[in-house]
Amino acid sequence: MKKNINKGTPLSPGIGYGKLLLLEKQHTPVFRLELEPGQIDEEIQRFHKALEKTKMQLAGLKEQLSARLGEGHSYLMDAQIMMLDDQLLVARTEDIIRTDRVNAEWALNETSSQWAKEFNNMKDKYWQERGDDVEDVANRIQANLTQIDVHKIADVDEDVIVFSYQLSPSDVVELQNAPVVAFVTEIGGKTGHTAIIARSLEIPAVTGMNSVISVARSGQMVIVDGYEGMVILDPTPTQIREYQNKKRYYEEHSNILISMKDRPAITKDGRKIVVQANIELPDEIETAIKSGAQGVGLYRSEFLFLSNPDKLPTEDEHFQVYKNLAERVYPHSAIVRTADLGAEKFTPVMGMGPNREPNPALGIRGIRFCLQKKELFKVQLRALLRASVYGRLKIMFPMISGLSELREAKASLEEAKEELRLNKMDFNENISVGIMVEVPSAGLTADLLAQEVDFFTIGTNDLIQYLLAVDRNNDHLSYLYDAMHPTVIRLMKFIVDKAHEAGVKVGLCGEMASDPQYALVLLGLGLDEVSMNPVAIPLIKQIVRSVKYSDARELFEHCLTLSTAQEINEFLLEKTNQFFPSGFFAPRGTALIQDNS
Amino acid sequence: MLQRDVLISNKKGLHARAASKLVQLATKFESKINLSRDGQISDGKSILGVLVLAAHMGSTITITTDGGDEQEAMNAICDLIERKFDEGE
Repeated sequence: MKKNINKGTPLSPGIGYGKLLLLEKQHTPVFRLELEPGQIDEEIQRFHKALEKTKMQLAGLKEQLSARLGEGHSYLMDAQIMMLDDQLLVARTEDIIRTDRVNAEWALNETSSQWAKEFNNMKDKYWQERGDDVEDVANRIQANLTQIDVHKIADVDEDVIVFSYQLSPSDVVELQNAPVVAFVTEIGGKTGHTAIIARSLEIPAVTGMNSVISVARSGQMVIVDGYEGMVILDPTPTQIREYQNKKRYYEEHSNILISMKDRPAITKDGRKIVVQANIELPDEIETAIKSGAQGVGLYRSEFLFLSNPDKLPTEDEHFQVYKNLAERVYPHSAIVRTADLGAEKFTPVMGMGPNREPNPALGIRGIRFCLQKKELFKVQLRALLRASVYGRLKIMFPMISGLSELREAKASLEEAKEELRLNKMDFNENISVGIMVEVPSAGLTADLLAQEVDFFTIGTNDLIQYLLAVDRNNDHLSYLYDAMHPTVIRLMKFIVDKAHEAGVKVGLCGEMASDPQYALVLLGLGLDEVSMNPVAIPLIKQIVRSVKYSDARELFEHCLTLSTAQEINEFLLEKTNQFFPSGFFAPRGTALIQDNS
Repeated sequence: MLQRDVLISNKKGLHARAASKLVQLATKFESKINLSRDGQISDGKSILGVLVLAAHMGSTITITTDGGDEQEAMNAICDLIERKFDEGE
């Protein structure tokens, strides 16, 4: 491998070539940079500029707060504003910049974390929380120290490739406003929301690039290969030509796939599987339809809550979104997952702060949150019911852990129906109600749950994380997060079998659904529906069309007899090579996956 | 230099609002103003310093003022504490 080529983890397919733009963002871990003696005064000035900027921002916030709540409530801002002048923060930070010859970010972080620790060690909870105030102020200063922020890149006018420690899903949405042709991050998992959004917006992305980010400089030229997870700094003319060809080839290939996207996914021996789209933003409905989706298998409704952190969405705002969804997806159906808030998805108006729980993945999230905030829940349910007359909407509850929780959620739905009846409002009395099977206890009681639902959707992203006790965003554990662990496929089989015994249809909506490597396994598992990132739909449909269900069935049965994820993966690779000797992307000039439909 | 012990008698003690008021007042004076509690000495013009004393209701703090306006500073600060920071409780 040439030495300017770096290998990471592919997050989102595609090839991008452009100028590197290094972004740093609030809450990114702070890097230590050594300064030359001549740079110190400049660094201290930079620190003071950031302090001034923060002061103006806090003064502005204080004004807003007093206007809304009265003078008496803005005192907390006073304390924070004073910290910006506090020598114990300012002078200490300057000292560190001077004596350790380090950048302001690092020095400030040293000082503020010392203070935070001091407060956090206090016995009294009130004073412990003052540590959060210090951290909050320090975070604001850190954000202002950063020269470029993501909101400003809209000013860029040439193709850029963004390099950042980490990007949030909303950052990625924002990248669309600029000519960003790809991005590269240091951390972020394949199943994270950032990756999901990148794929649906078709922005090539690669992660796991710590070694590159530390040497990357804004202005360098870069090639990003989101198919294979390659990042090439300062490519040679030959490499550029090579990648232009590769890009053109993939585009041609995907044009051919796209030309066949509307053909149904039916195997050679006549087994049909419904291929649907996972979406999150109203804008994506169009992409889903264009990709040949046979409906929406997962509509994540959290964006409504998170797009405006200052207020909760009203019933009408919900209603408009769902009505639009139902109408545009018709005659297909759309499954709306009720708010899966919690974990990191909180805004202040929801009445709970983020990071207050020691273990958010096992905390108040999904249906648990909704059942504790019944009014918020019923606003959404009423809106969904009202929208149900405009198309084929289905309701899905997330994070159900067992029958009693399901019954409680359904009771809320009944209340919402009753409220609409009292107001003489139309809705579909027989709206389908299902659950996301993503908590192991729900999976293992699938036989009981199947008696009281209309459908199941297996949510593999969380199901795998919970079954294997592996945080799916922890890069150090990604070697353990394997969809092919025998426990995962055994449980999936149990869920599908129990659902079918009860006459209930089963879909699957995790990221694995869009991975061609797993297509045969999921087909053989006997699923009725699979739902995935729209971009993957044409390829997955084509894979289904080019095989026999009986072969997939046999392949799955064999997987069940193997003892480790590694054995299963090796077996799958062997089979894939056998079924698709030229790979999912055939070499140029030869036929693509054989078209048998 | 003047020194005086005062009892913190407002319900919430030297919490964020009270501490802000105290610091705002202290910075109006030229004199050096220190607060101490249980052997920990803080600069009365530093919000972090005052907060970190964690002086709850019923604790005694020692105030020292030193400088041209030390008397006025001492009086004003003791007055603010005795008025319970105008919090009404």
